[in-house]
Amino acid sequence: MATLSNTDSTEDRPAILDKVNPAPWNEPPLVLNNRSFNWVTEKICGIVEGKTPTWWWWCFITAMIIASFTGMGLIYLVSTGVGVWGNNNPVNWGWAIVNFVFWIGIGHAGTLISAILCLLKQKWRTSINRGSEAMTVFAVMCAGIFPLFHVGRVWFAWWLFPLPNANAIWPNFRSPLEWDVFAVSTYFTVSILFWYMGMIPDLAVLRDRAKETWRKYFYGFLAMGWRNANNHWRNFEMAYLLLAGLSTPLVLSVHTIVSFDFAVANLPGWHTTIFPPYFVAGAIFSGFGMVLTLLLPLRAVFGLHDLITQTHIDNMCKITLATGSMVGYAYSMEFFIAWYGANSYEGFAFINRAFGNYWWSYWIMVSCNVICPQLFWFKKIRENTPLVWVISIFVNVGMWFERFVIANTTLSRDFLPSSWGYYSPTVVDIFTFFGTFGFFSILFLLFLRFLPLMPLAEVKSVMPQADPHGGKHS
Amino acid sequence: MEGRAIVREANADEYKSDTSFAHHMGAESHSPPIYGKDLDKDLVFKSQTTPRGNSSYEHPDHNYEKSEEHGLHQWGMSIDLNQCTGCSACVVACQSENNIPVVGKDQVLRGREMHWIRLDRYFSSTQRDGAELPSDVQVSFQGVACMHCETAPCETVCPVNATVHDEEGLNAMAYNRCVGTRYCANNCPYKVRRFNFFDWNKRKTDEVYKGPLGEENDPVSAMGKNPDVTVRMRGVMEKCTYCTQRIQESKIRSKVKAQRSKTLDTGKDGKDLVLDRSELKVADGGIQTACQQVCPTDAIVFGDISDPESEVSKLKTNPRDYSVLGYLSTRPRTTFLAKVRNPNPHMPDHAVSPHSAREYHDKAHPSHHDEGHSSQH
Ligand code: SF4
Repeated sequence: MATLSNTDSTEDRPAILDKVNPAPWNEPPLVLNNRSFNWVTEKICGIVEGKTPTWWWWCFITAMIIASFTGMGLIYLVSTGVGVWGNNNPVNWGWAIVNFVFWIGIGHAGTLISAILCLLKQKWRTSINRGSEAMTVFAVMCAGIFPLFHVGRVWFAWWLFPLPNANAIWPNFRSPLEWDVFAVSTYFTVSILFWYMGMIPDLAVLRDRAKETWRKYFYGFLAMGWRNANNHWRNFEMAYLLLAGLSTPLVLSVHTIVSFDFAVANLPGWHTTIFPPYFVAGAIFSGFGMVLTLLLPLRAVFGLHDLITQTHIDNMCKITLATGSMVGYAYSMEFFIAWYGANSYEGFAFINRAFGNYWWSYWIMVSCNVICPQLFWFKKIRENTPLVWVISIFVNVGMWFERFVIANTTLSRDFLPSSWGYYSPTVVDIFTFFGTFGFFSILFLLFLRFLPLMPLAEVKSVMPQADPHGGKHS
Repeated sequence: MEGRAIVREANADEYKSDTSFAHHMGAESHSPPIYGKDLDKDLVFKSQTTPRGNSSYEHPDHNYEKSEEHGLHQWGMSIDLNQCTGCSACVVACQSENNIPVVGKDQVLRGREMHWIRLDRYFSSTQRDGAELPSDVQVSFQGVACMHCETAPCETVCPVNATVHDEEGLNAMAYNRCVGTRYCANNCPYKVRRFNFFDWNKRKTDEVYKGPLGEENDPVSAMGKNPDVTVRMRGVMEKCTYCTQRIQESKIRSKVKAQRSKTLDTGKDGKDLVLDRSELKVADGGIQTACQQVCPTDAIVFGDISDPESEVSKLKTNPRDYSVLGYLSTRPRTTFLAKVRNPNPHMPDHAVSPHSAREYHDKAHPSHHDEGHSSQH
């Protein structure tokens, strides 16, 4: 009753403003120059259907050569022993785990863009989501190499799966590494499904436009009989929404669980509750860094300026800025808690991080991850595409160092000073990691050459022509 | 020692006034918020049980006595830091007993030595006098092997269950199950786990393993191996087993002996012969670990801690007894007896308390800082 009378009385209350003047807000167009639907189709399909450009071949061959480093490194590793890497007794996890977390972090932007931004109805995601989903899938593939091969006896790695066996031994479900197996494989499966499912209508377009027989069969097989029927679209949209809902928690869970590898251990500097949110923010940060690194050159090469507009770049820069600041906040919070917690081991671990044996890596990390993205506050900088690209590279470097700092400073200086050590990578470490960039590039180049770079229907749906009222409703 | 209470030391005078000085050191001695209502319990209790402080939840008691199928013995060890002279005989004995590979200088420099027991040395001093070497160095030794923690952090993180507890309290390592993630070694706070980075047993003695195509080891070194202990291949983790082969042998021997004497006494044999559980017990001192056996000062004592009369149990009631990093609640089965120094007050480098203890107290109670210093000079 009381509430009712309250609402009654609001009617007599004088309005604060006589008239509400909405601020003028012009939604920036997501496709510039008033392009037609046909132009979009031609542009995206043209990338796949045109003649293979010479630069593509050069890049592909270079990528192959670089990727062979990983292959050779791994063959050497498996035939000889983990000792070919730089790992030693206090630092039992060296670059391998750093690289794993680095790649898996990069793999976060794709699902974030396609799932979370989809649920949040962020229309600007349409022209960048396919590329970043591809990036996600390929990054997770690169990531998977490291935990698999860092184990001492890789031929028994399947023991991590809960397969019934004659010994009646089950994996240890209390181990974060075991959780990783499930988290990463789930994430990979869902990402691939999402990526592929979103691509089906575009594959059908490519099939219908195909002139060569192999194309007809290739895309025809992949398009799974898509006929643009009304019920196809209805099912598609529902499935897309469901998958978006499914992968939203995955975006958060994967890196949370990866962070448990550290947070569940009892070492000072690892054993902190801040890790899950801080790792997720870092992952999104690095993911967007990598999306910028990849898409800006593509935009220039394929002339996609009308599709990946300044608005897109602006938005990505802003997300990078936000997540970079969150990461920076987490860095300072770690120090605060180490002091506030009054645990002398913890306190030592953090001072050692900043000023100890690996101080240089800590400061590389802080300058790349916290200071660098602050430049994105300035519109001038966000509009300077080459500079944005350079900053995105710094973000990638910084995030690699973040994982290096976490893994190595802690392991090299833990409880008993008698067992302190120092880790430096060997040539094999360096080449194996370097090679994964080649592996990633091979996959990405193949993607560019054979699969549609952008979801045609989704891009068209955000164009002014898609609005039957011509944008003049109300 | 970075002001950490790892080797706990006092001078004889301090010891006289406070025999349990070791209990007043380390984070576990001054962390009231964690211990809550258990604050006043003694240190042995705190580090060997799971104090729940003010938590209102029940916590399963992991104490071995409560375990339904706890073994007949509960193995434990006590190392007297007072008696340790740092001679390293234990390290060598362990190496030959347990077929521990010699890895060579290059690999040692990379931090890949395989010793299951190591002798930690900590140096402390107060005066530097501008000289390169301080003039009043004190050295503290500590032999460290796997502590066989009752709540072992290494066990929970192994994804394939390759390291588990047995019913007699040993932290066992199943080499055949190990895939080599090395997570256990990271999570062991005492850093006692050793990884086979190469196949140390399949190579020429002075080379690292070169893969399947490399040269095989020469047979002579294989002949030097202890036949009771397996050799480990590359890619698996290993660490101190409390000489499990010796434990097993003694258990079998006492069983055979018990059977024989009972047969003689009762005339029964075969199925009719039933042995009492207590008859299977290995007598105290019946098992000596390799490190214990060679220790010239008998600093290492191993035995059954569930038997209150055993030597090791008695040593563990000594007020000097403490657990290293007790505040982690890993409840190590190996505990140490704190070191008591007896310096001559007329010597120029005499200090009222050992440097390492002063370092610790300066760090743990910075407010008493000045006091600590004035007593120095
Ligand atoms: S000392 Fe280390 S290896 Fe031994 S039981 Fe404890 S945690 Fe495990």
